[in-house]
This record gives sequence, structure tokens and C-alpha cells, in this order.
Amino acid sequence: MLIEWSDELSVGIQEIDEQHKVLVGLVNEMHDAIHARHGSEVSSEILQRLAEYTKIHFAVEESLFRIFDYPGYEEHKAQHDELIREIIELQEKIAAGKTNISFQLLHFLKMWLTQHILDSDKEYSPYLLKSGLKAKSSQAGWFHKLWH
Amino acid sequence: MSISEQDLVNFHESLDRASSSGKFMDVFYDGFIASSIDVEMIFKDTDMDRLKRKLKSSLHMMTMLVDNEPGTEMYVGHLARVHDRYNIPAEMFNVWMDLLIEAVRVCDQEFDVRTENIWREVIGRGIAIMTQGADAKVIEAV
Repeated sequence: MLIEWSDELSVGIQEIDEQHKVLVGLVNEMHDAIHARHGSEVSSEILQRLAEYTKIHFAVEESLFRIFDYPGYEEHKAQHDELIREIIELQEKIAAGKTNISFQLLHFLKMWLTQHILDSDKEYSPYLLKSGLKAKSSQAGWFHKLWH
Repeated sequence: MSISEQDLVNFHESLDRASSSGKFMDVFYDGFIASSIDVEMIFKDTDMDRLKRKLKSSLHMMTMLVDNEPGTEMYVGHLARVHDRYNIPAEMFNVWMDLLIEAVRVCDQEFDVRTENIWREVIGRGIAIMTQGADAKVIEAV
């Protein structure tokens, strides 16, 4: 396991935490696949799922930012946009046989995910909660139901 | 100048002494924000606690970079490309480093030329990537 989920990574909003746990799970899955030498096809397929889920997760966060008029929207979105651009570029290179998935990349993804949560995501949660977003829903959210 | 393990120990000790002074971040931001109108405009509405968290995170990243922690160079390259979207001039990064070291000079009682050189080497590595902006190393395997 490359990333262990801990309370330190919680932003205090259940739905977002659940989505972050899925991202952590996908990075760990990729780590395990590389360790087990399952081959580049398996790693690429996991990267594809990671990219898809990341886009959806970012869209959810950005929707919340717009709904609650979050003042850090532009800065946060720039971080999202850059990561998506880089992952698409990486996938294109992998497809063209110009590169492959490495431990360096895995550690980059680990660092990006944990630092982004700790440095950026934890900044928006107090604002959203103060603005009326519920920290916890009694039912699993629509997004969680759809993905699982 | 290459960084030895002892240099890294000295760097961390200097950072500890500066941080323990209780005024390190304030000294740095007072100097940095006053360094130009442009910097003042960027940070005029920014929460100081947030800025201090960012500085702490930046210093952590710089030390991981010189420790050759896997993935860090790619990550700092990513940060460089994010910052590039804001058209931050390269000289602003150098001013940032100079004023950071000035704050260490004020807050670290044992600061000397050797300490300054280590700080310049450690922080300079990160600054070198940040100033590459859009040209910083992309995420890929080798």
C-alpha cells in the first residue's frame, strides 16, 4: 500500500472524503499492480480509471465552489486543470509507446493527491461548511451510489 | 556546491532555530510583501495564516527535493506549470529566496556564511524548477 488513509486527510465533508478514498484506492491499486508486475496494460487501465474518476471528482468540487461562490475557485481550478492536462499528455505518450508508468509517477500521484488534499482541499472545506454544506448525509450520496 | 548529509542536517537545524524564534514567517512575509507593489497587490487580500501554511508546505517540498524523494521533482515541475498560468516573473522567485534567507539571518542565532550557502543550495534547487515554468519537467517515466 502506497497511501494509507488517515483522519489527517479528511476534509470534514463525508462525500468528498469518500471520493478521496476512491482516488487513494486507485493509486494503491496501481502501486500493487506494478509491484506484482501485472504489465503495462493493467497499469494503463488503472490510470485510465484514475483519470476518469479524477475528472468527475474535480467537476463535483468545482460545482460546489460555484454553488457556494468559493473565493478560491480560480486558483483551485487552475491546479485541477493542470493535473488533468498533464495526465492526458501522459496517457497519450503511453499510448504512443514513448513512456510507461513508473514508480516516480506513482510517487508523483501520491504526492499530488496528499499535498492537494492537505494544502488546497482543506482550505475550501471550512468555507463550504460555513456556507451551509452539510458535513454528513444520513444516506450515501448520488455520486457514491453511481460509482460503486 | 553539492549538498552533503551534514549540510542537510545543518539546514534542518537552522530551519528549526529560525522557526523556534516565533517570528520567522512574519519577518519573511513583512519583507516579501514590502518588496514591491506587484507582490503587495498579489497578497493584499490573502489570509496570513494561509500564507504561512503555504510557506511551511513549500519548505517541506524543497527539503524533499534535495532528499531526492521519489516523485518530488515531477511534483515541483507540476507546481511550476500551475504558477506559470499566473505569469509570475522569474525574478520574483529570486526575491522570494533572498528575503527568505534574510528572514533566516534575522531569526537563526547561529546563522553564518556556511548556513547561507546551504540555504541557497537547498532553496535554489526548487527555485530553478519553478522558474522553468511551463518548461519544467513533465510527469513521465524515464
